[in-house]
Amino acid sequence: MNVRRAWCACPERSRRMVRGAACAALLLAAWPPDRLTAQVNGAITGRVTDATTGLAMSGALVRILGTGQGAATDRGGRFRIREVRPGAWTLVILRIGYRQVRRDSILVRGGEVVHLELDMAPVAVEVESLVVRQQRDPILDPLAPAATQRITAKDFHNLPITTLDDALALSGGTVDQSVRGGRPGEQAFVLDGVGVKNQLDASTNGPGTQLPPDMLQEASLVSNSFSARYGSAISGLVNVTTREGTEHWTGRAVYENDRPFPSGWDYGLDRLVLSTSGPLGRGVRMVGVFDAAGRIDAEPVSAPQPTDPRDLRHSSPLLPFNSGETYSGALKLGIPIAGHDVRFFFLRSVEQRQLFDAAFKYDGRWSPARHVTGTLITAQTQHTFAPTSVSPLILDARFGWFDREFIRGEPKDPIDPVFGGFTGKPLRIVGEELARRRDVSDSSVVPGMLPPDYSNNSPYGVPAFFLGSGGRGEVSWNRFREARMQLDFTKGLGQGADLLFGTDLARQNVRTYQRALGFLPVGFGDSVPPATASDFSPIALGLYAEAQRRMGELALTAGLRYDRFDPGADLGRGTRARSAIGPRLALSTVFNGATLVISWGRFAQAPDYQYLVDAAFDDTLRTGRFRAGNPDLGYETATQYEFSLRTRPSPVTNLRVNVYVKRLDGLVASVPLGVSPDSSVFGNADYGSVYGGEVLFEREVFKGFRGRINYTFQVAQASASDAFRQRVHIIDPGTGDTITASKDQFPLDYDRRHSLITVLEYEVPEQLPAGLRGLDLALIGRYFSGLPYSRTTPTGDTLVGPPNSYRLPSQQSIDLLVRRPFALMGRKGSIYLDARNVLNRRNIVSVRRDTGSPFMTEAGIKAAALSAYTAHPEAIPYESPRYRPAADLDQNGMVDGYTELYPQFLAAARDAFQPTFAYSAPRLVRLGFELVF
Amino acid sequence: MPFQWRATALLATSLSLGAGLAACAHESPPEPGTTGVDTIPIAGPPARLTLNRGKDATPAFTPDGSGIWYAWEKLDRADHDLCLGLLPVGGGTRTREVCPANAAANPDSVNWNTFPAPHPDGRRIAWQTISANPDERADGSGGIILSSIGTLGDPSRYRTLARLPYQFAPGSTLHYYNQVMSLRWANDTTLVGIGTLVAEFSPAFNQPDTFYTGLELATITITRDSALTGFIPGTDSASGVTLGPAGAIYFTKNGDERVYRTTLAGGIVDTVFDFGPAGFARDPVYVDGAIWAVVGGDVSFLPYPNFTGRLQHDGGGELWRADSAGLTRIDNIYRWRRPAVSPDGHTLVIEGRDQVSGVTDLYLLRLN
Repeated sequence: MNVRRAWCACPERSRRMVRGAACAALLLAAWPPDRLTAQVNGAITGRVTDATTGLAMSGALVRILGTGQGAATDRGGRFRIREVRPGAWTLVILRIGYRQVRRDSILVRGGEVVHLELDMAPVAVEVESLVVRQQRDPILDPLAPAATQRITAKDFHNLPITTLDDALALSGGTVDQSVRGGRPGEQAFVLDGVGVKNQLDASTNGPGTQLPPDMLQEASLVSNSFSARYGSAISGLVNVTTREGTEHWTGRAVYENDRPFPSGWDYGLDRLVLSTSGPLGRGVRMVGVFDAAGRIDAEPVSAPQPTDPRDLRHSSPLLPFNSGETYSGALKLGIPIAGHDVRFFFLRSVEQRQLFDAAFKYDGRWSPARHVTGTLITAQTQHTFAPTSVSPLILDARFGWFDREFIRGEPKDPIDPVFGGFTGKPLRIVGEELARRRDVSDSSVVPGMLPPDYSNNSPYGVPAFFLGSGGRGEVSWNRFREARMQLDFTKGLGQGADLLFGTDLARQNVRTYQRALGFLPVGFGDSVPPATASDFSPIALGLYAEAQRRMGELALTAGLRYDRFDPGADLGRGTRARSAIGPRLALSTVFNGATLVISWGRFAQAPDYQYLVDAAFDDTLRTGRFRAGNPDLGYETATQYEFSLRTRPSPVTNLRVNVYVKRLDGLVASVPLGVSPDSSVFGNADYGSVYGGEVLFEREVFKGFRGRINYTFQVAQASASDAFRQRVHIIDPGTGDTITASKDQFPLDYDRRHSLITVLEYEVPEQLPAGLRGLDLALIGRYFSGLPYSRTTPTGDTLVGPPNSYRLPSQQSIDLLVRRPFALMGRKGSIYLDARNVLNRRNIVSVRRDTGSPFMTEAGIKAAALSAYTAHPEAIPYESPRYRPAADLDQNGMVDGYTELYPQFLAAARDAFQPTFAYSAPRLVRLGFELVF
Repeated sequence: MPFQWRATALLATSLSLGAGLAACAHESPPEPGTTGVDTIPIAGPPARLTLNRGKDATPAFTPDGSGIWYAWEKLDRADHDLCLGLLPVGGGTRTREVCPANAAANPDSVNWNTFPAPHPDGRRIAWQTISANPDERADGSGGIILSSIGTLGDPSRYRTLARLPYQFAPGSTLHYYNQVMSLRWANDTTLVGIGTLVAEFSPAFNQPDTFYTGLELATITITRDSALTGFIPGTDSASGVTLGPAGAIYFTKNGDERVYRTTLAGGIVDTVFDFGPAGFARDPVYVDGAIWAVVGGDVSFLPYPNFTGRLQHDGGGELWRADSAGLTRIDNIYRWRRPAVSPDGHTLVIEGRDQVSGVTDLYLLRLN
């Protein structure tokens, strides 16, 4: 019995639940709350006293230079400045009759509070003003209920990680892009407080923008009771803060490659990073970053090299026709306008990839390719109403524009890199004009598309397994645009009291086009689905309020969020707006040096908009070629209960334990309506549950050594794991009736039971010999238990046991970074060696469902070869490009008969059924050169 | 193949930066190798160019004489479509293949690319494409296609000069062509071919068969924006055509032993040679003052039920040569059809059907 569904089935209980949470929020708002911070920004609190008398000073004005933010001290000398952006700030304290106190480099981090004890000396007295800074311990702070796992810019520099995804993968509870067992795309991405999410197809195609890591100040993953300020997520929040422009010009240039290494290590990598920061005059500061990376083999695998010398991979580990390049540029400007610091952020990223397709291994011209562009523009400012009051009202106004375009299909022209993996020109896809016009009226063959034929170029010659002459006929295009406005208010209700409330409004536009088997006319042979297209403009609205109150060592946080989205009338099928309410509650306290947090929250996200419209595809794994969209899809929801314990076993170590239960409901699924798989429709039909625990042990920097151990245990189950896969139903072939499956749940695809991540950093002390002195060493060790998979019978048509009831082998890897700083002509820099999977462990990431191993059985390969021979026993004459002299055993100018042809079919089958992508990345080493100026 | 660049030792990173930026070659992904052959396993007089167990037919030399375009039967397709191919003139592996563009849409019907006609400029090629799609016309449909050699793989860039079947003179059944066969470029802008009737009949005591009976010499004249169809007067019942010097056009007629001569403008038609008792002449080729032609053999010219007039049914014949010295039979081992001569006049390529196996291949004859 699924508890979550039972709750949903009881409307009265649901109403009471929501009503109760709302009452709690109102009650808390009425109480004098103490302190509260949202997770994007931090806060500065403190107490000002007279240096000579030690008495509290009221009426002192505390200001943050360059921001307009500030607060006055109350009668107890206390002050609090809320919603302070992460960064290093200068604080000025003024009071008539006292010397001005000015303090630089007050470091504020998102979600944390910096506490200051300040003494002010009277002008007439020769006593120096003092500041005692105290960072409120984020581990023990009961006012920080969220389970935040943070990566800083320094981590990016010191650890063997390159991208934001690399960094987030170090967090407990993550498996690839899945957080706490959920499906990919269930998390929100917040950049400098602006929500950015690819609401169209994040679950299948990712976020769509690549933020250059050099732009990051810090990034964190919040996996539990994130603030009610944030919506559009049910499995976590990725919170990114970008750098601020500096007062003086600084810069950094980095070049990485792997070409000096021997062939087994050389994957054709080049990466260039240029970043600079400085003042532009008139108070304007900027940060600019350009990051370009290319690799000839963009997705290396550690699959065993084949023994047949004719195989392309026999002499080279590189996957052919698998190149890729990414470009991303970001610019941030801080401009003082009318006394406010207005920040503008621009990001443009381009990714283009040729995608290895084993069928086109010898005719890479026809391998599919992908081109994704993302543009993000944000503007934000902050205004403090009555900054000299004890409890000022702070408004953060944010605007965002997000534009993402995705296209996948056959490249118009052969992809021909000119330097490493760089082509230097935009990738064009066959049929992209048709796609942009969203022209579904033309049912004829897509101009420029050719049907695939058996390859002439495979070393085996025989017409089997390998294709050429044309591609797969796919054009998949979509564009998602969003204009977003966010207004976030923070109001102190008395000293040390906060109330957050605000709204976000997004106007979106979705355009899609999909055409499958475009080399055939629509409807041909009853197997070519019609092209699908859409153009609609949803509106999404969010309202929230959140309050926090502290009573002694007990802190209570309560929030309520209301979300609503309307797909718009453009869908033309009587769509309706739908809404969701998300109450959130956390209770935390401290005793015996440990902080306990108990939290509960209900989260909702609009479904991927791709499921609202029809889908055409040619993917038998999705059991069909057409799926009807459902414009009436509702919110996907999650309810999470969590118990968290945080403590410090010693002053330099901390231990965090999180135990949670998460109920998922209304997940989008493919629901069959009849016997034909193409009759399925998307529906909010899946549900599931995730429970688990995370243990994080960290040793902070101490004598040059820092370590972190992160262990996660989780169980994630649901009724189906992929929206495109049909739920486990049985359809009576006679009557066509759908027999609903039992309410069993099965492990989700990302149900990783155990994961252990160890991060170690060490800075070689100065006492050691010159060769070692100054070296920075970092090591990341990972152990992951196996992910689930389903077994089938050898024929592949029947599952063996319940879905996902088998497990892959465990995975292990060690990554290493060795960096040596140097000084060159007065400039600082470093050289470094970054090695991933140092031991070159061959981790298995998938297996065949019929064998439970990456490999097909020998009998299976022979059967496939014989079947192919039976289908094409034709002789191959010498004039054919498929003629292979070595196969012509009797030298009669023909490769003919079983004796000559079958061995070629068999060799082709062995090649074609290689488990290329069953293995993770091999050892990847890069040499880097960094120059700081 | 880009050369492989390797550093023998790990250089200082600063060196790698410079070296990396300077050297453009990375580890390169493997590429498919050359798999062709450049010798003829079986050679002899005449040399057999193709061993395909399907049909290899309608050869034509490239203008520079280095290759031979022809139609070959694709046996790995269930409906045995005909594709164009380009062979090296000395034999070897096909270097180009052009299969019917819409064949995948008609997997259970015949789709043919035949009668290649390389343009004298060497950059373009015309051919006839025919589809017997049952959803379309029972007697097939198609067109005369012109394409740049460089974009042969892109059907969206083909230019259709004429759609088949066509009737350019309304009201006249004579000028209704199902196909235009044996295409040749008479000049830079004009194609000449045999306007052909395609009909299926059941001769007495035999299985139904398809008859390709020439009606007259058809022309297609291309301009920048259009193509004009026409015919050459006085060429009724044409069964073969070839080009001679000074704008001469030689042709044969159904049920006729003679070879005629005319011009693109038509008008005067004179008899050049007469193969007399050797049999019906067709598929003439002009070579240095002589006419090579297919004569006699498996050919009939008979009336058929429900059809006005007589139809020629041609299963190939003997290869003969006629010049001022008289007639010479060159070969009668195979059943020959559609010879083509190289631009230098030294080589003939011709369809030859094995009388036992019935397989049609291409053969090469050195003329001197």
